[in-house]
Amino acid sequence: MTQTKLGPPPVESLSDVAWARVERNVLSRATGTITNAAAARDVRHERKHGTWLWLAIPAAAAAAFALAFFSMNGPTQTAETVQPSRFVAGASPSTVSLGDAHITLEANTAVVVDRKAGKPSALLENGAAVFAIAPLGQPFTVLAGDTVVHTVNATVRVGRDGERAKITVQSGSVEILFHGHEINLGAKQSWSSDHPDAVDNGINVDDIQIESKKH
Amino acid sequence: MGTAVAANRSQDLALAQRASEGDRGAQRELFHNLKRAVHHTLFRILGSNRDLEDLIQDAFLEIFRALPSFRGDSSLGRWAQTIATRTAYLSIERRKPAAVDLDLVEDEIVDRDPDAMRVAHAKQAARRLYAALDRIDAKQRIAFALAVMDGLSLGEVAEMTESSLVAVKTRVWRARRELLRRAKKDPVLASYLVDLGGGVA
Repeated sequence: MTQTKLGPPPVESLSDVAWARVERNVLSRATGTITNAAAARDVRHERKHGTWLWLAIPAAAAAAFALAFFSMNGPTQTAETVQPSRFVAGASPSTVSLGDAHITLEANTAVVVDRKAGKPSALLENGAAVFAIAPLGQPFTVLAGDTVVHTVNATVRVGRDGERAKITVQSGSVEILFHGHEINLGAKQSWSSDHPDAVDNGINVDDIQIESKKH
Repeated sequence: MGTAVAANRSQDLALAQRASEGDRGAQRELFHNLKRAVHHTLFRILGSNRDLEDLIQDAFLEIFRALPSFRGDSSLGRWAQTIATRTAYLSIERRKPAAVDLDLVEDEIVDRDPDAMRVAHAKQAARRLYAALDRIDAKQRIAFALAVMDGLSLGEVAEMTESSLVAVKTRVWRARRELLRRAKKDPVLASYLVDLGGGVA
């Protein structure tokens, strides 16, 4: 055996793909985690001070009764709006309508949609999709690798190839967050993660369709 | 506290606050700032582990959950490492003990290149060390990994494990005694413990 000291075991690095996966999962759940923790703290705070506890108990009982009543007699809309759904388009495009969002998946595209009340979002796993968000609907977020797209009123195509993303706005406006960059895109503008500081102006709206067909 | 340290702390606080308020850019920055420290701590305590990716996620979710309570008493990195240490502890406690004594299985080293031999020996020694660590108390294991293998001071380990200095000292001493006992029938482990400075009673 060699006489050289071996030292502590080296820390094996994680691959870039694994890090990207961890980051995506963590960030997609981060806001909900913080909100839940804050709500739990508020509940603990209320408990600690015992304020309005005598009102809270009958109110909770009434709420539980109402929930049980409606779950037995009505459609199970609550459960439907909480569970994320995964949509996959095979060799041909596919369309999904979810409340205020209308999503057209191009061929070979997979999207996970989380219809959390107040914060609906879609995780584009791969491929490309056109998201049409109604003007008076809820804010909608699209996650594509390291790229996050926020919109309240837009028809926008989001394409993803690994960790690269390309955003093309047909109408309305979107806000893009990417590695600390914040980019605002208006109608007929596009952006790519390959050139995060550049916005491509004056694109032909028909390009969206052309790109869709090319894909 | 020095000026530079105070400035860093106030930056840490500002970043933690923005992230806890839902600023996606801040959350991403925080993740990138802390990922190496969290990964390093988990790896050092647990060794090569197929669940490491999941544990990093668990640690980060716990970090985000606890962000509103970050007061800047320590650096954000050290605070994150404390949470990572707790995540590692819970993971060890959840684990079932291995059915087979794998540290008795000999590796055959066929390459005669000195560098390759050294790497192979290091891997073999590390595997044996973690196999031995798998069999000792979780708190002793963590104290030994951080103090002896990672070279942190006992004070730093006490901070990361939220324990007293005396408790950490005792745990390191007990871990070392237990590892030396196991090393009596394992020369590779014994030699490695001497290399690490963990073999000196």
